Amino acid sequence: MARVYCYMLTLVFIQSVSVLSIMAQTKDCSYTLSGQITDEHDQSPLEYSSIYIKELERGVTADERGNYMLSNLCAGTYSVLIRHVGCKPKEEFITIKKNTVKEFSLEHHPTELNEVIVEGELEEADVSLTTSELSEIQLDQSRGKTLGESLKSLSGVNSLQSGPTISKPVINGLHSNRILIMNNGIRQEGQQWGQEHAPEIDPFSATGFKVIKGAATVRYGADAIGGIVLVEPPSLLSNREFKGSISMIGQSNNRQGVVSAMMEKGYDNGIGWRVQGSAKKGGDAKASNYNLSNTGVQEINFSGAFGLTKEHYGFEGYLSHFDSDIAILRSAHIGNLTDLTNAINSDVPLYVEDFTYTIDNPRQEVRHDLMKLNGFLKLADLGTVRLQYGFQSNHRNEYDRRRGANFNRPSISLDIFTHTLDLVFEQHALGKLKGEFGASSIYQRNKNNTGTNANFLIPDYKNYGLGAFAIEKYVQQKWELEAGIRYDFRQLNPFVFDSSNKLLSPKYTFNNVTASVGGDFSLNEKLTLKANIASAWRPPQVSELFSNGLHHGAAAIEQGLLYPGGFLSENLLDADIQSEQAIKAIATMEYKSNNLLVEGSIYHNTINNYIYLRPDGIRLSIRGAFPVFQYMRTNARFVGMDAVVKYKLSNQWSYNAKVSLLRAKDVSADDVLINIPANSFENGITYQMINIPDVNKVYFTLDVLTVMHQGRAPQAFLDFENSEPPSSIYDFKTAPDGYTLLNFHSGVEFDKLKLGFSVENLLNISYRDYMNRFRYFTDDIGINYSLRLFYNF
Amino acid sequence: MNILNKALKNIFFPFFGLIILSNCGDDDPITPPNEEELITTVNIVFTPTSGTVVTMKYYDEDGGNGAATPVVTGGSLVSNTAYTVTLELLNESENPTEDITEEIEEEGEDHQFFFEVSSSLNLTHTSYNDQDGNENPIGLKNTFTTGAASSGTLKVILRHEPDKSAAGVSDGDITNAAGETDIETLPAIDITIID
Repeated sequence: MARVYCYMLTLVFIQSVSVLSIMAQTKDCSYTLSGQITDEHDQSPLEYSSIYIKELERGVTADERGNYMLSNLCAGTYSVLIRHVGCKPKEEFITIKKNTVKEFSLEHHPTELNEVIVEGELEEADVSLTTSELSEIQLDQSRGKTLGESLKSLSGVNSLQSGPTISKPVINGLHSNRILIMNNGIRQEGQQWGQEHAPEIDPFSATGFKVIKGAATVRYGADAIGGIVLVEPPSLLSNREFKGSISMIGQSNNRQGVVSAMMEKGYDNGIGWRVQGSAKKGGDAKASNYNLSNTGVQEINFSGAFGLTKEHYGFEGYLSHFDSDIAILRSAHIGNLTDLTNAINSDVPLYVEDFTYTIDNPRQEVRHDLMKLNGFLKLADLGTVRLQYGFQSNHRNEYDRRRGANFNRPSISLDIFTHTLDLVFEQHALGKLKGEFGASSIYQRNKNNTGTNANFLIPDYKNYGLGAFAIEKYVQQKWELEAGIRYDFRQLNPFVFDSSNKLLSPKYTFNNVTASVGGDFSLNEKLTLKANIASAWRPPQVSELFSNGLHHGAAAIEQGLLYPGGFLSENLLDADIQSEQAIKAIATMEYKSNNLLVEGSIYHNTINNYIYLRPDGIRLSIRGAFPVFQYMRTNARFVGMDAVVKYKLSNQWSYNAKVSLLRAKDVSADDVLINIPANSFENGITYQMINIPDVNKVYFTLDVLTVMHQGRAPQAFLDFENSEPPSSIYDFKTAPDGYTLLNFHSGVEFDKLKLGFSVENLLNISYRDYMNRFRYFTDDIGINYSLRLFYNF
Repeated sequence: MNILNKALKNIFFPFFGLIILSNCGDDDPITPPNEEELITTVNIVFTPTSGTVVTMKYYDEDGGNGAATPVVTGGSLVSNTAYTVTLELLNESENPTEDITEEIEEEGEDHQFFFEVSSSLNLTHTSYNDQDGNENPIGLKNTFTTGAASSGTLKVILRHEPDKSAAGVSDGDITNAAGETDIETLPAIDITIID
């Protein structure tokens, strides 16, 4: 089956490549579109405004007199989007039969906030889904941080941390395999199941970071129960241009330095390429009073893209390499329950050493390679066909503190290879109906490597998937309705060994239909409402089925669904393993006026067969006592609200606020769930200096972030020596107190140079965050000064 | 344009194709290895200056990795007697049985044994009789002294990477030892002291 599937995939791939290559030889198009972009009121030129042809996905920036030129256009009708900072974007249709000169004018709103407009450019593909995107300023401020950390500035998005260097994005309370990360259009496939396994993505490879908060499974496939993170590199240049950038970021807390560089070039014939790379080195982070010993990080990443964009066809090849070495807090490596009790009862972590850049055990080595090839072809009367192939190879080694020669052997060494093939057909509008149809497939192979001299934490497996979807949109001037449906087939084929080392190879098959319906209504120019309800599903992860061993971060034995009581049940090998099923409804209201932006959304997510870890007594062994946690199923409910407010007080002063509220519940047990983000509020005030010659922007922001105590956390229980552990869910320590942090950000922008300076945790307070798994052992990080430099050429 | 097309067709695309094909191999999964560092057994040998040698045993078939229940064999000691106590660590899941004792001795600087005697038992850990390279105790060889007839339990603890220079640690006090536990014989071993 694997072989046949694999060859089929190869054939389809080679076929499509041939089609694209043949297309690449057809005639060139040489028309130009040029002209000036001006202010509608006084006809003054709008400098550095941008013009973008939607069908071709390419555009240019006008010069300082508002003049623009797009070359190599084919005859045809295009929809053109014109934008300028502080103006309302405008879309116009234009027909090109010869070299065309065309003037565009925009309505200027001098009082409107820049960021309002940036946030207004929502993902058009799913109009009814709530999407938030990092603004340019948020993006600049997040540079040098991990992907998980970067996204925290969006409301409703948190991160699940394992110390300062490992963070995973959490959308509306869900993370890991319950959200999907689309890296450059390819679903990120690594070892996401681990709470201490961060996404293997270099944030410098992208300029667009979006979070879709609805269950957009219909388009993207399984797992997207909580939402989707879109990591999007900019489009390749497709006309004569050469650009580049250099970024340098230094931060004081862990004495970290990051450099990144990018170069890209476009040619008149539509060819473009880009190369990009980044390197990071950081040492031990510091809480307000002590070092977090062994929390250094080292990363080297690079990527390259090459493509051809023509009016009716185009293709792109993309390669990226991610390589990171991460030290894990020494004090979080725990031998048994006695050690855990000692570590938790100690106010200060048990290992506090002098600062070092050295990465010692416990540590992780992670490499991730992505290769992608995609192309599109426009069929005159029908629509556009897009084909995309992705190959990912993920290598992960985890080192513990072992005896003797095994110290330098990984305890976990896994390789996972993933092939994905996606085909999408975007149908031309038929009257008021617009549609998209697609099919996707995935083949995955996970392998344990030899030489660990340790038990396998998860088994080898193969994973096959096929899916098909259709989305139709009915478009009216003031409102749009969309509905979609998808069918997915998945087969998981793990290779497990029973107690006598006999190989068992069960096959678990999942068939799922998901659907989505939603709408987008513009009540007037200022007020828009959106609503979407969608079903989503997720197959159980191999770790949830087959885990059977010690988790060093918590001194806990974790047992999968198929290891009740610690023994592999042979009956269960043929068991009907059900997938997680969710229905997420989300509604958003957006109000935008000249000086006020209010965006609020409420959501309700019901998850049946929600898989989670439940305490199951303790076990005695030669290594001492260990609490046992068993994977179980329940029904869960997540209800919450996210809101953003931006108010422009004057030309210089603006205020912004963010709120994230969430209530999660184990409905079956009428109990709380573990690791659910606490409610949080953020208030900020920004002062912007205006009319400074030669300076585009100068700003200073002071943010106050308040994270509440998570009152709905499991009870604390640790006194195993004197009492029986409770049968309902418990945690080893009570949720930490709420906290308030003061953060300062500032920046100055010239034409080619941007500088930024920030101070996070300005008052250097000591605090612990409930979503940091190392809160048992240590405070979170203290004051951090960072300096950022971006140079564009 | 043509050169580019050629380059793409002849180099770039076949390269990608190869990657796909090269991963089509259906190689067999490897058998899980036996865990090398496993300790299944602690033998505690009590040797009096004269009289019967008593061997107590703590045996955990899967060395703490699985659900097997440990089997603990206690014993009885004679009152008011000094015993030389040696520890032997084994991995009996291997065939032939692997002796871990030597490994611990070699890495003596990274290991130390501690002994917890229940309050009801009149048994005292009198001294460590071995030293690592830094002249700190390891605890594979010890002297224990019994008092009056009584009964209770003994717990043997092995710490990996303890801080031997911390207060009291080299005298056998575990309080400030830190490190990670490699062995903690739970349930503790039953001992009876008879006249």
